[in-house]
Amino acid sequence: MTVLRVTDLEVGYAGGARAVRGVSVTVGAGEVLGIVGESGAGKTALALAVMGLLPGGATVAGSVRLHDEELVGRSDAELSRVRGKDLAMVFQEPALTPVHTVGDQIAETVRVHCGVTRAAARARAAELLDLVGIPGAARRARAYPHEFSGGMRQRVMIAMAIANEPSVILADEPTAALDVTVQARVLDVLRAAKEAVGAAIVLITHDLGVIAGFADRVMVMRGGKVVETGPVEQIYREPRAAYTAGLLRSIPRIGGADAPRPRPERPVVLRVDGLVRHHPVLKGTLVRRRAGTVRAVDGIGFDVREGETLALVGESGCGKTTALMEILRLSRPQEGRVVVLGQDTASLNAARRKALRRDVQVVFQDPAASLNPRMRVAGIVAEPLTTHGVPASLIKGRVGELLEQVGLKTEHARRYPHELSGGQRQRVGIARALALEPRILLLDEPVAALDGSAQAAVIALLEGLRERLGLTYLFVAHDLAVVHRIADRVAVMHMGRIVEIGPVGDLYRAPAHPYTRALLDAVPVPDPLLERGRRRVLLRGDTPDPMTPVRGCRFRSRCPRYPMLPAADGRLCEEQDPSPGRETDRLVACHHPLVTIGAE
Amino acid sequence: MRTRRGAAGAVLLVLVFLLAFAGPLVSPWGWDETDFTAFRQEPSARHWLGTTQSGRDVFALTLRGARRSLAIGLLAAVLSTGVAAVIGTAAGFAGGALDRALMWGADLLLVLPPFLVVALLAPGGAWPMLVPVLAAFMWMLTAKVVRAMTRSLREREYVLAARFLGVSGPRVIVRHVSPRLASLLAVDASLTVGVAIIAEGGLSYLGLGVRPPDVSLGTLVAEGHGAAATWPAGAAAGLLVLIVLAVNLLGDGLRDVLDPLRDGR
Repeated sequence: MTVLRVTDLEVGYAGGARAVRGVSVTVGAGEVLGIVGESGAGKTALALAVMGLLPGGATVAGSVRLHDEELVGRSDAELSRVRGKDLAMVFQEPALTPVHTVGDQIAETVRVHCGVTRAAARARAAELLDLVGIPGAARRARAYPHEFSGGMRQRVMIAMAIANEPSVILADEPTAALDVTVQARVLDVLRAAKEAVGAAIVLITHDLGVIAGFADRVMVMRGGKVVETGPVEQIYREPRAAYTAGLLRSIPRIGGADAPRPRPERPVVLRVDGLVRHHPVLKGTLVRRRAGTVRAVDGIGFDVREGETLALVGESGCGKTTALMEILRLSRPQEGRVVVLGQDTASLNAARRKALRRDVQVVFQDPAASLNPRMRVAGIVAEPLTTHGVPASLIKGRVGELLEQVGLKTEHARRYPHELSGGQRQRVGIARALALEPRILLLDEPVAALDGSAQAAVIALLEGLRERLGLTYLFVAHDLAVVHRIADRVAVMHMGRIVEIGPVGDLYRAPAHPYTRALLDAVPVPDPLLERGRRRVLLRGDTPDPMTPVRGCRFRSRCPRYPMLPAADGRLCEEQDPSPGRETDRLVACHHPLVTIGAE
Repeated sequence: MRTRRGAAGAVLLVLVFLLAFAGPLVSPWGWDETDFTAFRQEPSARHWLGTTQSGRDVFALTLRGARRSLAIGLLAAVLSTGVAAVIGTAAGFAGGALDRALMWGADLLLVLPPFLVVALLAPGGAWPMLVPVLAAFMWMLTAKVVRAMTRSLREREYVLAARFLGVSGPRVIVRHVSPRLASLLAVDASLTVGVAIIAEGGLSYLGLGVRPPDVSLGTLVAEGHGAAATWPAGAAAGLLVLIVLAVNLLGDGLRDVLDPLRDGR
């Protein structure tokens, strides 16, 4: 039975852009339809058009029928009676009002549509929170959104979406802002919620891995049009359209047994030893006093050899970016030592620090934020050259050379960053970093903000540059598939500590730390059969509050292995903080590792 | 359409300037001349805007006042916004002790009653002295806004990127921070012009600003208080409104011109 039928839908935005061009699709009762496509494909415009939530000035033509009732052309007031009741939406960013409690916000959704008493709505809210797996639901319903983690907020949004047992839930990138470990659990909750109320789900995402394990049918969109639609197995096994095949090829995958390569005997260019970065947390309005400490980076150590790529991975908030920034400051850290190209950063004076900056450069995550919006590409790429006194006569030629090196054309030099695509902008960021011919490049999630195909192209570029220029990379990322492709060695961070470090092949094949295992298990596999048949270890709970000091192992509260240990072994976890040791080639900070290091 | 407003402001301001500086050339009376045959006359062919109680030509007086007020208002606005920009960015960018010292100074000036201080420092009669005195009491709030914006801009990735390239602090401010502040400063300067002109009028009214026989738009409006004839004050007030309007339109236009993303996203 078809619950939602979209026919020849056209959406035009003010200014003439046509976001959706003649899309027809049906959703059956209880079915999960996945919509994939890169940014600009019109996925979100389609969802907003169905909900009737397009911004003013947008035009809609065609038909959207829910249970054979036409939605296009209805007034906002009429649609309000449908929205949230028969048709619910989950957005990418959990859209909760910060000044009301979570329970009240769910209760409001119930009351608006059902007209039950306040008390009954409250009870229903607690019931719904329980359904989406929030422990202590009745108590937590009185909490405010900021007291919840990102994953929990998204679960609250799902609870609100299913509050009135809708027939269709539209979920627009519901897990894009979450860590992989949390993503898997939120998807599980969404699936359970769907079963509980028997709703159909339209899941919009750019991540083909997410769809593979979740959707029954898949619709691929590009430029506002449908490229192809079909059952999920068929789309992944035998895509008919070349575009779909390209999308599938561009996904970085974990897999392919690569032979373990011995670590090359080359000089160490970057050594970090016991690096610490604590942020004081101040409280109080009149008298500011220190209320606690966030242990962002709490004693990490690693080394990177020339021409090598070390990836720092972990969930958001684990301290990987802070560690990168501490290295980039090139000054004395709070504790520990940073040695760059043989020079201890604590002993540098201003002139030598500036000279060392030529050799250590950075590429940031979001190319839109890391390029000055008021400067042209040529000015951005030339800035490091002028700063370090390159004669003006040479700059123009060098800028052209750099743009060519990163695969841009000379005419791009005259553009502003907002006139470029995301991938092109990141290339500008890379060109700027390369301008001074650095020896070490620190990359902070350089492809996380990019679409699949742009991501693949930028990674290929980085690989090529590493070969040609002999660069050393320190690569911060949360995407383990990307890391698998580019890194030689991986360091896994959890709560400011490195819990495991080792060559990428060893670490992915036989993770020794339970956390590494869970991270790897959480990565969705872009293959419907494998993904559904897979057994995975999921982590309990969210990342603990980094302010509360934990005695013993910090991972204990989430560790899947700890509850199963005999009491005597478990005591070790409670009392002793596992030390990662001094050896940096392959180590694990766990009392009871899954594989014994060195026994292989 | 927005830039058309800016152009209209610029044209209007040029016209006001022309009127104030070229007007005396066509006026039959000088601003300091007294016509003993006409006291408190209505506007006529002989006196275009009439005369004051003491027989001075209102048209000539108003133009003289406009010249003073324009000079004081524009200079004070540029000076105060400039000071605000320098102190605000320095405090926001450097942080630490410098930030605390500068903001402490700003707070001190905010709690001091400006009229009292001006009365104590009572400038020796020369009108250019009014400019720094007025500016000294108008920069604090803007400086605080600029400081807050600088602090958030300092954490932007493109500012971090520049710092990690080895670009020096002052250069980062000039190249990466100040362009973001330009539109705020343009609007602030245009608003301050009006405030400065009116503050100067207030001071002059108390005898602390422009001294008679010299006049400004402020003194002219002040003289209208309680007077039977309304046209001298009316002419001055009208010109005042025109100046403030022109400067604000221009500021609006500048703000849009300074924003290269206006037709972007």
